[in-house]
Amino acid sequence: MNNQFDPRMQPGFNMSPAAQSFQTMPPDGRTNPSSYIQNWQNNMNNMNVGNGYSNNTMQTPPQGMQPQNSQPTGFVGRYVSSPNEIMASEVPMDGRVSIFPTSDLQEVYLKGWNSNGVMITVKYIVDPTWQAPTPETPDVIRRLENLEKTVAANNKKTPAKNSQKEGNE
Amino acid sequence: MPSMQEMAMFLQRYPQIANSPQGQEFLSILRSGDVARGEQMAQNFCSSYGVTPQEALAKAQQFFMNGKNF
Repeated sequence: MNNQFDPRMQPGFNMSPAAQSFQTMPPDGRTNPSSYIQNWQNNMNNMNVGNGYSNNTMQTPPQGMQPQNSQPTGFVGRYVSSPNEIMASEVPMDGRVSIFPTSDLQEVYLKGWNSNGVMITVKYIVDPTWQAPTPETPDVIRRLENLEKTVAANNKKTPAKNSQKEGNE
Repeated sequence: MPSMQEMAMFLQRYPQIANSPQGQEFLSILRSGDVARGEQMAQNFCSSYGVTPQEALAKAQQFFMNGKNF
């Protein structure tokens, strides 16, 4: 006799319609594993999979189809007043990093998952002494003008040499 | 219950799982049958989400019973 805990046998147990086909499998679950997987696959297709940060419904690709290797793009994040209000569910598990600047823009928190399920947090603090580098456009333009003058001067000299060579021949 | 290998074969067809670093690690654990690594990963998730393993289990049961998201 199997004395293991089975929530389906508990009083007041209500199964969602999407999960009801779990009940159709035999108690030992081993007589036909493939049918069990098929039931589960149907459940997953009918179910709104809870990933915590979106309501995306998992779609089962057709049999034999290889997973796409496309990387999700775009940033995830929002302004926060305190890092304590950032929920783990706000960080996607698709390899992206979430960005959480504080509302006064004095701190920025980057959060991401490592492959072992640990949330990694990186904190950036604004350095008040740091100043954005000024554009070096005027200097570049001055150097371009000097270069242009040099090239123009060389061009004036070059035709004279050529004509002298032609005259000698 | 399906074996861990069968679970891995089934789950790897979902791009959301197969393409995510955590999903790849989970699939690797399922294929290798390393229960200790799987338990460590589960504990890491529980810690990151700020829930106890018992609470996580209850939420999982609630999800499968009522279809409610976490």
